[in-house]
Parts: sequence; C-alpha cells; structure tokens
Amino acid sequence: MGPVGHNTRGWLFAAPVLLLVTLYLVIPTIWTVYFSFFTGGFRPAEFVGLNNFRRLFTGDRLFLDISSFPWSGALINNILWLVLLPAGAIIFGMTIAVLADGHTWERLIKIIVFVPMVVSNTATAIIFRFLYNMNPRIGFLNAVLTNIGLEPRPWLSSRNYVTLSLIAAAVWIWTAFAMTVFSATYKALDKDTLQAATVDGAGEWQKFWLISLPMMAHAISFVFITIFIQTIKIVDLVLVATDGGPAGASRIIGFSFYWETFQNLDVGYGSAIAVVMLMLLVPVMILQVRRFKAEEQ
Amino acid sequence: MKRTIIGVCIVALLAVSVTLWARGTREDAPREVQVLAAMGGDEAIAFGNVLQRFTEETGIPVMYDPQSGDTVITTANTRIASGARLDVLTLSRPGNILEWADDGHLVALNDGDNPLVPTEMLHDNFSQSWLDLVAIDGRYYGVPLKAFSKSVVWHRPASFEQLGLEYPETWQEWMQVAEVMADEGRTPFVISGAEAWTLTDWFENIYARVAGPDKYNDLFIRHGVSWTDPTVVEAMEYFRQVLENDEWIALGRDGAIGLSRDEAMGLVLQDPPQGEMFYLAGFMDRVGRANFPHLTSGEDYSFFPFPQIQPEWGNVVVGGGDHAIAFNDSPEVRELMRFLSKPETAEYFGSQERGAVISPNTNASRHMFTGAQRLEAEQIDSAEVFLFDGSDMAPGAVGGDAMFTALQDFLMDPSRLMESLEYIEAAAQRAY
Repeated sequence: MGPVGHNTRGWLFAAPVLLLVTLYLVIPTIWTVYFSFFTGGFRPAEFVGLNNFRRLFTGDRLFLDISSFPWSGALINNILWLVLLPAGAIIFGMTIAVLADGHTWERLIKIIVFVPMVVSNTATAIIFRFLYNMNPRIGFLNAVLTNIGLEPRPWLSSRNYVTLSLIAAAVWIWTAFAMTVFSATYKALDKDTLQAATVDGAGEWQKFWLISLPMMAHAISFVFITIFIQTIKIVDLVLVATDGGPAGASRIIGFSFYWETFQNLDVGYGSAIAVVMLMLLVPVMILQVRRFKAEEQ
Repeated sequence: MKRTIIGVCIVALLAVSVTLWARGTREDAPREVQVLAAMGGDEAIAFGNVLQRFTEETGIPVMYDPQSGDTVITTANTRIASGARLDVLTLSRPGNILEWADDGHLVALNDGDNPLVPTEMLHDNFSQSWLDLVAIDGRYYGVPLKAFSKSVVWHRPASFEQLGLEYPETWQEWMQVAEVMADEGRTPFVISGAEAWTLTDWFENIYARVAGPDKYNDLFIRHGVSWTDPTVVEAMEYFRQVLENDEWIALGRDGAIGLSRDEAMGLVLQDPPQGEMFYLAGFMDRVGRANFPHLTSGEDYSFFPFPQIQPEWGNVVVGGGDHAIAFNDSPEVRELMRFLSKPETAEYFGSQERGAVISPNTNASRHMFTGAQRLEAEQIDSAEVFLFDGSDMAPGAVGGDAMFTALQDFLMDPSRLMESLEYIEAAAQRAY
C-alpha cells in the first residue's frame, strides 16, 4: 500500500477518537470561550466584550482581592493549593515509600496509606468535616486539643485556617497515589549502582539524596503533573466540606466556576472562569506533550 | 413471487401492529406524568405516597423524581433547554416560578375554557396571598402544596422554668431574657452559620418586623429599597445586638460559623444543653423527633414565635412553602393538579407518619398534627401577615450567594456591618 493509502488508514483508525474528542471537548471548549463574552443564562443574551474578565480580576473580591495584604480570593487560594498539595503529597509519599521499603510491616503500612485513594472526595470531605468539627464532642482534632489543655480551633470556619485545613485533607488523599508510584519506582532502581556506592563508603542518606532521588526524577515529575492537573479541577471537596465558606474564604477556581454557572446561573461569568482555568492548564499540557515526545525518542 | 407475498405480509403485519400500538398509547392507556420535586428525606417519601395514592385513584402512572433544592432548578432548566419532557415540578422559589412563567414555559392553572384547575377551586381552598405569590395578571401558576414557618425560636421549656423566665414577646424582652441566661452561666443563643440561609432567615425576620411587609417585598422582589437604606442598616443593628457578645453564642462566633442546622438543634436538645435558644424553622421539629426520640415534641422542647420589634406591623410570620407548577397541558396533568388542590390530599400528606407537611389549604383539617408541628400549624393559620422567605424570592445571585457571603462575613466580624450591606447592594445592582 502506498503512502496515501497508509495515511487514509491512519485517519480511519483515529476517526472514532477524533469524533468523540471534537464532540465532547473541542466544541464545548469553543462554546465556553464564546459564552465568556456574553451575559445571561444558557442562552447568551448580551455581548459584553471583556467585561466578565474585567469583573473577575478587578471587581470580585471572592475571586481575587489584592487591595490588602495578605492577598486573598479563589485564585490566590488555588495558587496555595498548587504549591502545597503536590509538594506535601510528594514529600509524604516519598518518605513513606522509602522508609517502608523492606520493613517487616511494609504491606500493612502501604495498605493503610493507600485507603484514601479508594475513598471518594465527597466521602473525604464528610470525614474531615467531622474531624475538624469545632465542637470537641464531635471533632476529633479539637477533642485532642482540649484534652491536652488547649482551646478548640475553628479549622473549617476561620478564614485563616480553612484553606490549609482543606489542603491537608487533600494531601491525605494524594499521598497514597504518590507513595504507590514512588514505591514501585524505588523497588525497580538499579541495585548494582547502589551496591557500588555502598562499597565506595556512601551512607544511606547520601545514597538516597545523590543516587536514588535523581534516578526517580521521572516518577516525581509524573506525580507532580498529575496532582497539579487534578488540583486545578477540584470542586467536590470544597463544595461538600465548606460550600466555599466561611464567607467565600475557601473558594478555589473550579468551585467558583461551578458556583457562578449553576448556582447563580451567570453562565457567561462562569465561562470566563473556565477560560482562566484552561489558561492555567495550557502550560502544563505543553510540558506533558513535550515529555511524551521526548520519551518516544 | 413467493418473496413478494412474504414481503407484503410482513409490511402489513408491521402496519397493523404500529396502528394498534399507537391507538393503545393514544386512547386506552393514560400517559405517564413526569414529576420532579424539590424534596428530600422523609418528606420525599411522604410525597411519593401522595403520588402513589393519585395513581391508585385515577390509574394514571407517575414518574417521580425527588431531588435536593439545590439541583432541582438546574435539572429543570436543562430539561427546558433540551426539550426533554417535564410535566409537574414542586419548588419553594416563587422567583424562579415567575421567571419561567414570564418566559412562556408554564401553563397557567386557571386559563381558558378547560383550565387545569378552575379559579373557584383555587379560591375555595387557598388564601389569596398564597396564590398571589405565583400570579401574573390574575393567572395563577402554582398550586400551594406546603407551608412552613421560619419565625420559630426553639428552646427547652424546662430551662425557662428553672430560671423563672417568661417567654419574650418583644425584642427588648428577648434581649433581657438573654442577659439573665448569661448571668446564670448559660449560653443564650445557638446560631448555625454553616448553611448561610439560616442567617438570611434571621435577617428577614428582623427586617419584616422593623420595616413592615411593603418594604420587605420591595427589598427582595424588586430591589425597590437599596441594601444600604436606613431601614436595612437598622435591622442589621438589631441583629448585631445578638452577635456582638461572643459569650452569648454557643461555641462562640467562630464555632457558630461552622455549625450546621442539625448540629445546632442538637446543642439545645442535648443534656446538658450547650445553648438555650435556637432560631430557625418549624421543620426542625423533624430533627428533634428523629435524633432525640426520648424527648417529647411540644413538651420537652418547643418554640416561641420570633418576638415583635415595631408593634405597628402586628403578628408577622416569615415562612416559606412549595408550589406545584405545570409545564404541560394534558388530561393527566389536569387530573394531578386538581388532585393536589383538594383538601383530602392535603390531609393525607399531613397525616404521613414521617415527613408530614402542613398544607396552605384552608379547608384541610389540622387534627393530625401533634407537638410542635401543631403549634406551627396554628402559627401559620393565625398570622396577620404571612411573608414569604425573602431570599427565596430574590434572584439566586443575591438571595443564594451575595447574602450568604455577606452575612457569614457579618457573623464572623459584626463590626463590618456597612461593608456587608455594600457587598449585597453591588450584587443586587447587577442582578435585578
């Protein structure tokens, strides 16, 4: 078969996927961008140009408030999420994967750490609502605090704590994922190199820091990108745990998008938020595609 | 030749069966009615029993889909936009109902020669104010299905007895009661702020008693009153009297903002109580009955009406309720809407063991209600002015979002009174 026929066959193989991607991804994305220039419900009513975006960045203190320090709003919260969640999950995941490796109770430890991975975000949100409850009769964390003579803290109901408390819950979930990947990678590391290092007199810490960790760079970047993308998409955890409260203090971009679109039926404004979300994801996607290509070669 | 004969036979057979099937669906079997209801828990089951009875009486099948109030509007809007069938919906938001009516999606109940429900039947069974909530130019769009009071202060009567306190009838007396309780080492108020509509209800009750029904409706329905109007500021100042003493509030303001309504009710009913008075709605009785079965509703715990502020506005009750609305006109939908308008149906709905509701139907007997629910029915029936939940009549961006954020903000820091109001005003300017 000549080159043209080969090409046609390739397109035919790709056609079903292309059709689905066009139908469910490309067209809705174009629609969303289109909606973001309008006001009104699901039927665009009035063209407003960039007004939705202007309001988003200058007129909506729940989305972005830089009038006083510390800055606040869904965007700032999301940046905090994007820094702390992958970092926390990678550090905890790596620590557990390496320390548990070869331990007598390795299996048990891993099973316990893996449990959150099979729990849905909604269930996690409810579990942590109890855990964080202000009333020491209900909230485990505050029960501990009051038992050692401290005051109970409003984990989910104070502006200062709420985002950090929610991130901690998410770290609990994603540590499981990071640990699983790291553990598998760690076990597959080239043992000869490590043995050679031992012979040369390297300590455990040096071996980990100078040999194992660099050899796991690929796994770390994979875990980082996966969690990064998931973080931008989070809605359910915040919605169930706090409804974005108190007073909008725990909103993140995905939540704001959902809230403006479906609660306030301000579809144009919600679409503008979705466009911002997309913009945040584009660099990560480019990075990811480059990585795939590099791996192919 | 043989083939042709077989072919003709098959076609003929198909034609006959299709005709029979079509006749069957058109004339013999009644068409299923699609019902979407904003109801949850026991109430959803109770309403399911009501629809079951309808099917038993009329032979008309019902496809019943109860959903939470948050999602039901989205579902309905999606069905409208996509053209999927939806016949009847029950909802507690007259604002949305009027919007749909305006856009031509609803069938007026009392329109034309063969109306869904005749005007006389509606006038016989319901008070004008309930019908007016969902009326445009004399056309009624909803059958009132359910009523509840949101002017209710839950407490334990034993606490009042122990402290020798009388039930407060005015705001001043109420604050005095709170002071005595605080002096005796008790925590007077339980406030639940996690689901922020509880705070909008606080504000609505105060505003109705400060500014009266006209301004109240003006503020919420038309935004005819600004959110920075002196009457609004005055109402917020009353609210601040409750909020500014951190010791007056169970778990403090920081705790209150994270407290769900069920937990809050529990704080009053548990032994020993962590707070004495919890303002909210009559339907919290259900939480008491379910979670504290050893307590008797109306005796061990009960409610007193939200105290008066300006005597000129009389006995005001702020409350809410559901209407059943019709998106299509068909004989089956007509049967159902008339069925829902009957006092017998209201009584059947009210006599459910669990999830019973109080009907706005004036001909329905109240004998089946017990405990605090009986008190609630009496309160609704005796109200001189019944005002519908204001935030439910306002556009979602105001009543379901800006007010939530601003009042939670105010609960956390009562000194931010004007900032809170300006925030709502900005949202209102966009939304109306």
